[in-house]
Amino acid sequence: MAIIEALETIYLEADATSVTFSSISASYEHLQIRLTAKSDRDYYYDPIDLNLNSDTTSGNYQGADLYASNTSESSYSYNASYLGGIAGDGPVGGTVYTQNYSNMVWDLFDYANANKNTSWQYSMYVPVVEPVLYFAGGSWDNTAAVATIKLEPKNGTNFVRGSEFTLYGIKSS
Amino acid sequence: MAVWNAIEHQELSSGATSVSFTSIPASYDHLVLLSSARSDASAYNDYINFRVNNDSGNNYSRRAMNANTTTPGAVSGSGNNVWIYQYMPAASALSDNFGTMETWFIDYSNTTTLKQIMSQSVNANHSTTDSQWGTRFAGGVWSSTAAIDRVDALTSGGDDFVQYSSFTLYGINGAG
Repeated sequence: MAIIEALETIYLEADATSVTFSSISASYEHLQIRLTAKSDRDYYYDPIDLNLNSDTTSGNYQGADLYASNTSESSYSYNASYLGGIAGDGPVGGTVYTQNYSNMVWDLFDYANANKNTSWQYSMYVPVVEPVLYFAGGSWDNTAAVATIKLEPKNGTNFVRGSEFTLYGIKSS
Repeated sequence: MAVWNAIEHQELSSGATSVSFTSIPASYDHLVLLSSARSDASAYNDYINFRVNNDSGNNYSRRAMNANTTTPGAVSGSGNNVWIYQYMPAASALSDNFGTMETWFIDYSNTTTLKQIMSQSVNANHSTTDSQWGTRFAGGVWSSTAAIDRVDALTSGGDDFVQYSSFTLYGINGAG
């Protein structure tokens, strides 16, 4: 029996304003999302807005980020519903990196446990001339099992064509 | 042959000062421990530490990048009697928040090399106040060539992991 099962892959044949995984089975211990994505924001990167179970109250979410941007490092904590950043469609140093998609590995722990808020951690990379690298995490102040995950570009309008998102379930036995 | 194999899952039904995985088979290439844990220490942050093979000697070292303020930093240590000092929320943190941690024990059953660990953790407390949250990315060495057959997860000050803290140990196979 496989411990890690691919639940759904969403590949964008055309630009899309959002990506949603719905009716997520509660039968796994953890979830993982792997993505390669890009926003159409006219800037070199764009955070991803996160919405769990249709909860649009940004203050119910928390982030804790450690990241490097070009040659600088920084960190911060915030009450808001977004994740790191993916490549945008704007110029860096006068150059637009149209073929650069960001990658992310995002683990959501104990997402179906009704005694815990859902918490997560991720690694993320924005490959532009001044690259951005994240090791970060967050939590959702709600003990409900996560059944829907909706992702949107925070400042751009669309995830661009060619972006791909895969949801995995990770078992514990 | 499956690459990931669940060796054991533990979810605490009541508080416990430690969580132990014993008689770990040597048949995998690597071990991975995924945990969702919280401590009852009187603090916002507590540490998850490890001991392996019941070794309480000063045989562990580590280096970590971490953040719990707006200025990230790095820490290191050697001659420690526990391994890795990863973040998890404690009693003062937001109720129901548990910390995340993924830890790899690399080549854990190889008897010719010192044992290495790679680990990432986050305490995403609902706070923007310094030292009430934390992220850490760490590596380290256990100064022994023995195969690891036991892993104990401990809180830093003898406090308890709280009820519902969970720990899953996986064995990771290579090819062939």
